[in-house]
Amino acid sequence: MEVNLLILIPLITSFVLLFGFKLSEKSIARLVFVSLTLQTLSYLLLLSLWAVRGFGNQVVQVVSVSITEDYSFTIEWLVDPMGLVYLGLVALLSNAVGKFSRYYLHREVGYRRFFVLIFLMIAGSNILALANTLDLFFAGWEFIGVSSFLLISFYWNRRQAVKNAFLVFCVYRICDAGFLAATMLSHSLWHEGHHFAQLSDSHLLDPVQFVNHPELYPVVLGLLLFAALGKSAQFPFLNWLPRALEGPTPSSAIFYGALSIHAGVFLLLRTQPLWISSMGFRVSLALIGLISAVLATLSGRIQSNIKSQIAYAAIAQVGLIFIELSMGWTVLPVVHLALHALLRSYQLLVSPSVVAHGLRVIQFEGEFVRASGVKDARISSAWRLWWYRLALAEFWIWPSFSLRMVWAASKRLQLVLAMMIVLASCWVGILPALAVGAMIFSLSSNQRVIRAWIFLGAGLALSWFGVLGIDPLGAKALLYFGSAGGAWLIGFISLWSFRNLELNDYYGHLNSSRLKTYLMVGVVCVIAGLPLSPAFIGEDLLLHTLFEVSPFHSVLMALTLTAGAISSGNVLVKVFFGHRGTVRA
Amino acid sequence: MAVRLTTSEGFSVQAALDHLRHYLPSQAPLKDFIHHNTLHAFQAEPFESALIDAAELYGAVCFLPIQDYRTFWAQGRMTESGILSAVQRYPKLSDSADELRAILRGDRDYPNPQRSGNQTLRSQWRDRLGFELDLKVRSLLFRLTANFLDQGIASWIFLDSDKKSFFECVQEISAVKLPPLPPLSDSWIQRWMQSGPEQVILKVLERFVAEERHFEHYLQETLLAHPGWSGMVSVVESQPEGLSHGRSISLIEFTAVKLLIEYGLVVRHLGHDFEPLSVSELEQKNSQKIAPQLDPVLLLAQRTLEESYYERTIKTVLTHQPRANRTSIWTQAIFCIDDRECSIRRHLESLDSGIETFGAAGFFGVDAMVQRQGELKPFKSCPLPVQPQHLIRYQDEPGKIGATRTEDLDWMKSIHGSSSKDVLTGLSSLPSLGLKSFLRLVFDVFSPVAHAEAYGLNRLIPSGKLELLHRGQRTPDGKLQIGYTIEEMATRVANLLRQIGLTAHFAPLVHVIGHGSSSTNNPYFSAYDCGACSGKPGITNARAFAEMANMPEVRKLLKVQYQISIPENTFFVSALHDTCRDTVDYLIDDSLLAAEKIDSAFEKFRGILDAALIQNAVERCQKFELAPDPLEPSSAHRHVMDRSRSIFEPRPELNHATNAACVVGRRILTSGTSLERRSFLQSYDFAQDPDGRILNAILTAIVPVCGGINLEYYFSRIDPEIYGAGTKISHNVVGLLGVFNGSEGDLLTGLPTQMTEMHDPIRLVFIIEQSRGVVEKVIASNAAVAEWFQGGWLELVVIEPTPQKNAYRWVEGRFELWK
Repeated sequence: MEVNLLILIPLITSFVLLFGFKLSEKSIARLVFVSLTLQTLSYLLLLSLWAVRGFGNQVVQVVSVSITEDYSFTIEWLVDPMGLVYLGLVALLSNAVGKFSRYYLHREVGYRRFFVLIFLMIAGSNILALANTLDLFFAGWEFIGVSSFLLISFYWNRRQAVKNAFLVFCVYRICDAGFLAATMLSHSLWHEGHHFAQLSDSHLLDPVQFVNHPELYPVVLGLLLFAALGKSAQFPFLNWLPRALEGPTPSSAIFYGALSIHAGVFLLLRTQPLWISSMGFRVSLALIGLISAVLATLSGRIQSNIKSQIAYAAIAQVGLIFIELSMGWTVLPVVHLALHALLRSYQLLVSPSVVAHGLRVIQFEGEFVRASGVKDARISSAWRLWWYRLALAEFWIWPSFSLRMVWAASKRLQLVLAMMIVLASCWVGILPALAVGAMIFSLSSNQRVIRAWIFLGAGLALSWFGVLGIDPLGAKALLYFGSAGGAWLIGFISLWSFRNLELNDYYGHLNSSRLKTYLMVGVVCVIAGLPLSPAFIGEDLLLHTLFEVSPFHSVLMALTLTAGAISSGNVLVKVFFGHRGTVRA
Repeated sequence: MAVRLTTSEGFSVQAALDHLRHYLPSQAPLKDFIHHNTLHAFQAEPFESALIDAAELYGAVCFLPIQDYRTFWAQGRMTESGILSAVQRYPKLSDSADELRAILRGDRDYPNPQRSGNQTLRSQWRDRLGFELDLKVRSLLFRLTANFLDQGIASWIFLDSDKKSFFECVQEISAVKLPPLPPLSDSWIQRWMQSGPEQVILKVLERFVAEERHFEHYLQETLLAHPGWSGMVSVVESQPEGLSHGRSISLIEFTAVKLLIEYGLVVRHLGHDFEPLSVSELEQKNSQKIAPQLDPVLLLAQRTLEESYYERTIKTVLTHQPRANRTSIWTQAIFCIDDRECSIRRHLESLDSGIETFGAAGFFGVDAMVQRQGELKPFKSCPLPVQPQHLIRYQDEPGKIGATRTEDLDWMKSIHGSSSKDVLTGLSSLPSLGLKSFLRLVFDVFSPVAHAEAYGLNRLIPSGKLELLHRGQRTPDGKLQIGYTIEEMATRVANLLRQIGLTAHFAPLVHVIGHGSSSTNNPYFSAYDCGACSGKPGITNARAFAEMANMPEVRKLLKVQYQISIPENTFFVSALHDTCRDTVDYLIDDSLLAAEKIDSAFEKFRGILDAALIQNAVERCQKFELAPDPLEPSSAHRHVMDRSRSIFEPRPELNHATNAACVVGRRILTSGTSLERRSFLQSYDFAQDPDGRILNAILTAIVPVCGGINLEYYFSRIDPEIYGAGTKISHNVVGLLGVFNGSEGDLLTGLPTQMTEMHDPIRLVFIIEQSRGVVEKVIASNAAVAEWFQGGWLELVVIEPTPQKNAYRWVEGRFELWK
């Protein structure tokens, strides 16, 4: 019960606020306060019950819905020390940020929206901390992702905020595809054994388990790592984090100083029994952590703005946590995570005070941050310039990994693409291959809205037709394609009046069409298969079943769905967000 | 249009940039936030045409959204009689009156004011390249500039930025072959850079814009694409001493680097052979001679808002009956003219009619640079235009650094310093910092206590002595004289006393009360302090004035030379009013008071002032939506204290919001009237100034200060995005210089919405108690002051000190009877 409360309270609050158009600021604040207090009490109750029941790992099964004979969606919670620490962080920080924002955002346009999203994030983080299965964990992960995207674009009239929000959306989506694939594979590998609580029982991890598909083991691990890297902004994804600090300062503090940035770490902690025996995984983990720590430190040193500096500092410490994880430790990373989250969120919250403090120190001591320059580093001048340049350019990892590559690919690599499609169609059939093609076409920015949306619809339809013929799948696929198709149709209607806009600019139509904007946000959530929509389970079910029949086909499907999500997000952002000609964006 | 669009003769880069510099924001680094007229570049023009030109140039709006005017109407801040007097004052707007009434009542819709685009040349890049050129240039340009100017955020600064100029540094950095820093590392750009910034600009302009007469226009669009950074470069170039760590940067270098990056990007996309930009659209625009007009309906709405206020205020002053029999004055208090001191004076007087208050610009005539014990550089503590020749130092005992305890200072150092951010030192300090963050987070958010003051301003309540008397010393660079001679002191004391009309009838106790404001987690802290002290708390000035006036030698000279005789038993006491916390710190030894045998009077005053402060807090709380409800005196005071020390409070106080008037006259003119905390109050006795000399001195000092404050609020409120700094909530501090939104962007100038949202954009009305003739004479003789009134930047009303109390309004260069 107390476990469910921790999930339900923030979720319900979020929904009440979402539909509470008429609520005054005062009532919103009151609701927030009551909800946060109840949530804290539930946490304390959970903590004491856990102690009374004798500590250790306790599993609470809530419900298991059999969707088909061989697939059931299980809601099952795991209460263990690691999760409790994370829950404690969530409770503390959400209370602090809740109180902070009550005043800080006073009279701000979007006050209600801010708390809707914060509570969505709290719900997501609590799910993350308590989930006993990868499916559930993914649900929490996605809650964090959606609220993160919408909070970065909190000032949705500002072009740069919207651009960066979309960038984060893309990074998340691409990495989520890895997560999704890992979930799907793990369903196949361990029909029962994908529960975190059981993972620690070593007999389940007997290599015998992989007898069916031994070659898939490293793939699952690789995908999990990929997912963790994206969410925790590690190499090669490290440059999105400073760019995510576009929203209100308190939301940046709780997301990128604390909860969101450590979600990847938490994923690795939860799945540690899976990868601990793979030396290759551990070495890559350590290497990535090391590279991220070094690069982020160097990039951070030349940042002249306080928030980016803190963001890079956070990446560097998370890099160290990755190294600790690779050593097979668990307690140290958890402690490191908790302390680090507290420090960074606090630093971000008080970041404006750096002016008063820094200027005073300069006045009395001459220098604030010892601006040593590389000149004091006692390396030859060519070297110091070289390092400085690297840091200044943030190592150019950023542009090379930005989505411009995807755009460029869709324009320039059409031949390669065509060949891939032919190849793919020989392997699995023409329809899924065409679906990928259509989705990639819908990503191009040199077209009108309507064309992109039709390509998107075509991609969805083609992939549906592609699985129609496959026997056990027909009805199961309907759950996803039915909801996505419906969403697409709603999107089509909403977009009709904007059909002729070119997708190479931001139009900011949310000012004139508020309702359509909200509808489109919903549409994107469904097409992207985000939790709370039937498409979330539908997507999981679809990929899982498909994998049993044809693994390669399921990979194509995952690719199609990811591209579709990004494409729908792109249309949303371009048409409704941003504003043409905002000078000081 | 004030901006020259073409040049008839040969084009000079320096001349063009010097001309454009004029139109860039002149906001200094955050260290010295000083209010100034946002449209200072247009101040020589009449207000209305300046509005149009500026809107055109910056792409701003001239009026508020319709909804705001409707709200004013509904709340009675705009009235029918306001419309009538606006129409009377501006007859050409009379046609719009009926339409405006219908709109205000909600019977008719009307379009909101629109921004006009300000780019005709650069906007072509979008179509040619398929992307916004500016957005691509910014990222590298801002990063280079910010890192070069950085005063203490980055731990790796631009190489040799303290020795070399900006252009040289960029050249040095881009000279390295690998790793690429496109487009600056392209080899042909390297060659171009050899020829120096001026040549670079010319070369790029020749390729971009074929015709020389449009060069300046392209530069204008280039610089105004990010007015914040361009303005900062220009300010640093002209006042390099404004930075703690000096940097050599010029607008030419900045423009050259920007154009190089731009050119490099264009070449990368279009190759070296591309057509220059088309100037036909620009020429068409220039040939259209019809000047844009202000929307008459919105203009009338704006005028009505102003007239409604002027009318109410003038009426209040005219009909006000001063209390007849005053008890004898036992103490006098001189406050700053600041609009925030308006209410505390009223409360003081109402609590005890034996207290008389005065208002004077808060530097109290002490034009000084100040250097406190331990400080490496002196700072200016007098109005911006004044160039002080004197330095006041604090002697011996240093006092605490502010009210801050060392452990708080250490904590802030560890939070903001670089060690917590580097990977290894960050790791080793994490255990202690993480745990402390936990505690601080809990305390600072759930129970803001005094230690949060660590984030606040340089609040020095010094116990050290002022080095006030000149002993033949000068500063090592010879520029400043340390301390004042007796003659200099006497002049300053006499001038101030004459200005406020306090030349006789001294009470035994005279308080000189400066003001400052404490706030937490607030990059704009300096904007909350005393404007007459260049954005510093007026603490040293108040102390210096009181000590000067207490010196027997000074008093002797005052008597002999200036015919001001201060009785021997009169004692001057200085204090600092914290306008945010509503507390007063007295800067005086208790032993001294006892020696002067006035400690009982002092205690009495102190008690009354404390009561007045609480009343003041209650009054202020009525404007805070989040103030406690019900409002008790004690809870109100606790609330304002909490505002000053909460890290989550973006509005520590409302500062100058709602300021709208400045009364120059005897206190009797306004004492007892509320004036709603909207008025600057300068004491002035017309009778002692028959030739207007004193008035001239007063206006010279306060018109730019009050006008600057008023107009900065005015414009930041009218267009919070272009003239103001938008919302504080997503601000990010860069280089200790300024703020921008989110992860990167243009520096934001002007005021954030949290400061201006309560403000009604009303041009300040000066209400002067003097005969028309004297005022006319002053205006005629003082061009700098006249400009503000002639152009309609400020309004002027004179109340003649005759029994009828006739009011006259300055209209088109002459006085007209008020109604």
